[in-house]
Amino acid sequence: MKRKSFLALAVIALFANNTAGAENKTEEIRQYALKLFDRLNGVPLALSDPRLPQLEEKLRAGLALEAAKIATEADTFYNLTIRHWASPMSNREEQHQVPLNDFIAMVIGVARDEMDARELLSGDFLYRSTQPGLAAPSLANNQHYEQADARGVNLRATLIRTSPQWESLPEAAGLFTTRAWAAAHYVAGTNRRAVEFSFQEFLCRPIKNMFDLSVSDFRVRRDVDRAPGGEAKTYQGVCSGCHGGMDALGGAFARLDFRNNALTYFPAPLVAPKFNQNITVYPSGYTTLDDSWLNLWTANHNAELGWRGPLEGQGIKQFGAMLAQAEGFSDCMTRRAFKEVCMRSPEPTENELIRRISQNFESSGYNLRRLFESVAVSQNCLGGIGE
Amino acid sequence: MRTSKHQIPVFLFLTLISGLVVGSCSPRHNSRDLAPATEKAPVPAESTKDPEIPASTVAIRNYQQLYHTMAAVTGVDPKDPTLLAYFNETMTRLSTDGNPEKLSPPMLLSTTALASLYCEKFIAIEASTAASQRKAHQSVDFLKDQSAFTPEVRNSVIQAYALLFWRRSLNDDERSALIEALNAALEGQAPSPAEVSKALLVACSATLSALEVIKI
Repeated sequence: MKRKSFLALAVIALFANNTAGAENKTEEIRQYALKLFDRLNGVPLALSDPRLPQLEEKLRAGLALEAAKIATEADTFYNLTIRHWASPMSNREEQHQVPLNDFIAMVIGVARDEMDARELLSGDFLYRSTQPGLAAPSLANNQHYEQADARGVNLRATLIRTSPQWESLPEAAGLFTTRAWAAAHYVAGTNRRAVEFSFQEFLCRPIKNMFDLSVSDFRVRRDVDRAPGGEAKTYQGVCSGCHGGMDALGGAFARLDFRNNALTYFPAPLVAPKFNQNITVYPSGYTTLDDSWLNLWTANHNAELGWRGPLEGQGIKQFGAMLAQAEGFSDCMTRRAFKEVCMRSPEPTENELIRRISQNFESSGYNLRRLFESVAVSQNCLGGIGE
Repeated sequence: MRTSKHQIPVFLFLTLISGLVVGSCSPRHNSRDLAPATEKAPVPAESTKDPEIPASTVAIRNYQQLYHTMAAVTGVDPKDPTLLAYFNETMTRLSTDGNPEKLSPPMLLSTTALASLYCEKFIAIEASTAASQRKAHQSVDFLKDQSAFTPEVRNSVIQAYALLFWRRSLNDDERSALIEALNAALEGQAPSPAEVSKALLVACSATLSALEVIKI
């Protein structure tokens, strides 16, 4: 009798234990589902939302990526998360709090349409809102996007892709020929900033990291002093480390300028006058006659960018294609997505994880939506029951 | 800066915001430093997860997330002109990147003020909706004064706020703090349905600007 009682107690205890364990697991799944949705969308999911049981079901079945797909189906993934992600890349100060512009709209559109993200750097298209009553998109102002923003337009629902990007522009290269990028990097100056920020924004490489004194300086333009302060060594030991590579690539932007508040194009055989200004500083320097460019930053530490495809070309479109083709592009997009969703930069010890997600991003056809989903469900991001 | 006519008691604010400091100690990086580190660290053979790395970093909602979160949980239209105007005026005081280390008094005050504006709209919408259709005020009779605003009703409303805004039940400390806030708001006031709404605004604003809403 005593033995039977003991067995009964043991069974009850075991059952209670299992029940408690199951409850814990259920709660763990619920909390993970809520967090997954929250991080991908920036807004919480209500407990009464019918998507919550769907997310939980996928997670219970071990299908975290499928759960993430449900989360990225929401408008807020595009209108808040992708927008916030794209905003700092669209301006010189790398600020998040900037008015909506054609650069940000293009990134949102490409993510929503699950296009190949490499098209962002070479495609001939524009994203505009179909909301009635907005000014038309223009090379000369940002009104269309600012008006859409002021009215709280649902970008995910109203953006449409139109091609060509600009009727009056003979060459288009996605983000490089957006008005926002032009206003940030083609205004005044020498267009070198455009090279600098191309590497910083799309390859996550600040110009100082590209520094390489072994690069030839034969493309350094005439406006660069070869002996600043009378010291030729300064040029040879410092300046040429950046100018050698930067000026060789600068030709890609030779036909572009931002004048009178508008993106301006100089058709062949012209180049923007800024490319051949201050020519008396060093008259033997390189004269820009066309939009040819050459990538000299391919050796030593810069080989890590994983260049693939042509390393020289003509114009901004081919330049954009070269950047997008590099492993550094997918790596950079992955790091940026990681920071957006996981709310921290990847640690050096997470390079292997970044490499793996980056490869998946490429395998997915450079699908930004898939990228964010992969990042979100990695265990290093939200922990718990991620993949 | 615009503030609510009914200030949230300091003790209540501190109670509901407490825990953020404790929960926000995960190391963060400079937002511009995304360049991959060149030193190669050993990677575990079977998993890429590093035990040294915080599995989930605590962060706070950025300005857009906060604005739209308040809209989502209250059901108030984020395109409301009053809300948009205040948001546009104060967004620079809210977080841009979700870094909790940048949490500041102006940020918290702006959050509370934004919450009170949302709550004003929320309570007004609820008051004009049939009781059974309301999100949080099913038990409140907006046409009656404090006498109908019984302890049971008070308890039910703050519990509903927590479930709606925090997606969890209140704990005892939170319940006490919110009940005390409601009682303090009504103390000495002449019987009036308007006073009940004002007291609700205090509790709603405090709940909507609490850590549970701010953190992500």
